[in-house]
Amino acid sequence: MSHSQRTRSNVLVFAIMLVGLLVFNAWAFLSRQTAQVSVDQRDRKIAMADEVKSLQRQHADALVANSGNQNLLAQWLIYRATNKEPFPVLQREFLAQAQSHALRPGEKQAHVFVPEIGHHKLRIEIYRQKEQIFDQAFEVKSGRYYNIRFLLEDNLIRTTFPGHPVIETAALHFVLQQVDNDHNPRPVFVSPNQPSWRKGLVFFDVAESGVLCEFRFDSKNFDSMANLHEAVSVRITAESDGPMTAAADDRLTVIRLEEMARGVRKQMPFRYKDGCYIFE
Amino acid sequence: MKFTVKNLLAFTLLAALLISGIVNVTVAKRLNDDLDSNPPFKESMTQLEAQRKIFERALEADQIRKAKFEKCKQALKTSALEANIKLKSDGESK
Repeated sequence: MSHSQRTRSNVLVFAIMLVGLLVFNAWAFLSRQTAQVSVDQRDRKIAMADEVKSLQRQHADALVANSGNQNLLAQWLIYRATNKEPFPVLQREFLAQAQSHALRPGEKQAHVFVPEIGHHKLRIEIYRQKEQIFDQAFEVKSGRYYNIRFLLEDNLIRTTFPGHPVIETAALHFVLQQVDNDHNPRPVFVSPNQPSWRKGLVFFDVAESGVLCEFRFDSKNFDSMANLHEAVSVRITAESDGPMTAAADDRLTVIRLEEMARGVRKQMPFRYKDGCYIFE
Repeated sequence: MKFTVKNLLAFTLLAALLISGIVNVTVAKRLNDDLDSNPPFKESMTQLEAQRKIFERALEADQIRKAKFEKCKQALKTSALEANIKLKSDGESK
C-alpha cells in the first residue's frame, strides 16, 4: 500500500470514527436532555404539590381556627381548664359585676363538669350561684328595669373536637325578666305603644375571659313570650387563639330563653354567621 | 504510524467526543434511574395549579372570615364599653 493510499485509508477511518462518535454524542446529549427535562418537570410538580399541601394545611388550620371561633365558649372552657384557671376567675368577674347591681337573693348550686378530650381529661368545676352569676340591668324610659341574666347552665352542647368525636360543654342560658324599681319580678310584657321599649340593648363584656356577648332585644314585634324569639338576637364572640381549638357543630348549639314567671321554655337555635352567633 | 501533530489532534478530538458521550450517557442513566425510583405524579401541572388556585381562594376567604370576626369582636368591645359607660352614668345620675 502506497503512502497516499494509507493516508486516505487513515482519513477514511478517522472520518467514520468521527461521524460515529458525533452520532453517539448527539444521542447521549439528547438522552440526557430528555431525562433532565423529565426530572425538572417532576421536581416542579413536587414543589407545586408541596405548595398545594402547605396551602391545604393552612386552609385546614384556618378552618379549625374559624370553626374554633364558632364555639368560643367551648374553646374558652378548655383554655381555662388547661391553664388551671377554670370558672372561679370568670365567676369572680361575674360576681364583681353582679354585685355592682342590686341583686335578689337566690339559690346556690354547684356543678362539676368533666369532659374528656383525647388524652386530656379535664375537670371544670362550675360553682353556680344561680341568681348571682351575672345580673345586668338597664333602665328604660318608663322607669322599669329589664334584667337579663347570663347564666352558665348545665344544659349541654354537643361539640366535636379534633381527635375526639364529641364533647359536651355548657350552654348559655339567658333569662329575661322584667322587674320593677324594687327589683320585684313581673311578667314580661312589652307594649308596642311604648316606643322607648322598642329596642333594648345590653352588652356583656367579659373581655378578660375572651368572651363577648351582645344581646339585642327589639320589642317591635314582641307582645308575648310566644314570639320572643322574633324579638331577640344574640351575638357571641370571643378570642380565637387558644391552646386548643374546637370544631363546632353549630346545628346542635342552642340558646334557651326562659320565662321564669310562666315556666315556659323555648329553645332557640342560633348559627355562626359573619364571625358572630346569630339567632335564626 | 507517525505521531504527528495532526494525528494527535485527531485522536484528542475523538477521545473528547467519546468521553463527552460517555458522560452524557452516564448522566442520562442516573437521571432515568432517579425518575424510576421517584416517578412523577399522575396529576398534571394544570391540575396541580388548579388545586393551588382553589386553596389560595379558600385561604383568602378564611382571611376575610377572620377579619370579619376581628371586626365584629372589636365592634362588640367598643359597643360593650359604651354600653357600660352609659349604664354607669345612668346609675350615677339616678
